[in-house]
Amino acid sequence: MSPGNPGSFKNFNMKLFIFFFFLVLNSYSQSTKSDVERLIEKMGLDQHIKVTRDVNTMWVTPSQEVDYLIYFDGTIDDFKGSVSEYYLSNYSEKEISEILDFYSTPLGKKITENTKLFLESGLLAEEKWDEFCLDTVYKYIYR
Amino acid sequence: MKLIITIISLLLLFPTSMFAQTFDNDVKKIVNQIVDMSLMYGIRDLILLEKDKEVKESFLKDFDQSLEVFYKVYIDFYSSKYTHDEIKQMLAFYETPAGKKFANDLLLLSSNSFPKGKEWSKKLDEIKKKLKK
Repeated sequence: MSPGNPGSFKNFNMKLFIFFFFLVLNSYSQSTKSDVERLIEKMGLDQHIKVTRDVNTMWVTPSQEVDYLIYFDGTIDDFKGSVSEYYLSNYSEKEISEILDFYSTPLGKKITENTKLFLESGLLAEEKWDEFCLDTVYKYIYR
Repeated sequence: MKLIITIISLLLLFPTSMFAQTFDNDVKKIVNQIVDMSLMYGIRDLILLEKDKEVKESFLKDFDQSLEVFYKVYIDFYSSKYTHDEIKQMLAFYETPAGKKFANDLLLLSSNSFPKGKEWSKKLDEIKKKLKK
């Protein structure tokens, strides 16, 4: 860039502008990414994974349990990454912010704390409904 | 005197039971938003096909009873952890556009129908099959 050439100065300014534009854009996307990670933490994804781990282990023989858990634990990071990608692609910054605001309230924090119990209630509710299926549905199938 | 006590007891009992019913109904609204019950309704619709009126009525009565058993587990959970006011705050959040969208994804997550959840389940099943070999 030569000081006496206004065209190259303009060109340099344009490149500088584009550079800062992408720098700012990158910092916004980084903050959205960290917001999504906070959201995933607050919605209790870790607890969901733990309950899934416990339920899945019930369907594996004792001799295979150790190997299964090694494989299972190996999939967790990928799964969490893909959930994070899902929220990044399908939710706006504003939506993420609104949901995070809710989870930051005393009620929202309580919901996060109780996620595991909520999921366990869900398993119990399904179990009770499955009992109905066995007792009653078959009776009606053949009527 | 006995009559007065009876009337007062009834007057006190009636609103209490009404409040309990409102709490239960609000919990059911939350459950309907974030818990996937499509399999249950699918089974119901399947059973109702080609059944005569009497059988349908009898089945629907049993089915509604089973739903009450299902909901009761959640009602017990919510009543032990949350006040009615908190339940109403949850409902208000799930009524917002962002809340509705989020609740729908929670529902999918709970039923393993979440897009990324399905892929994960498939991977876990493949691991189980691999271990069996």
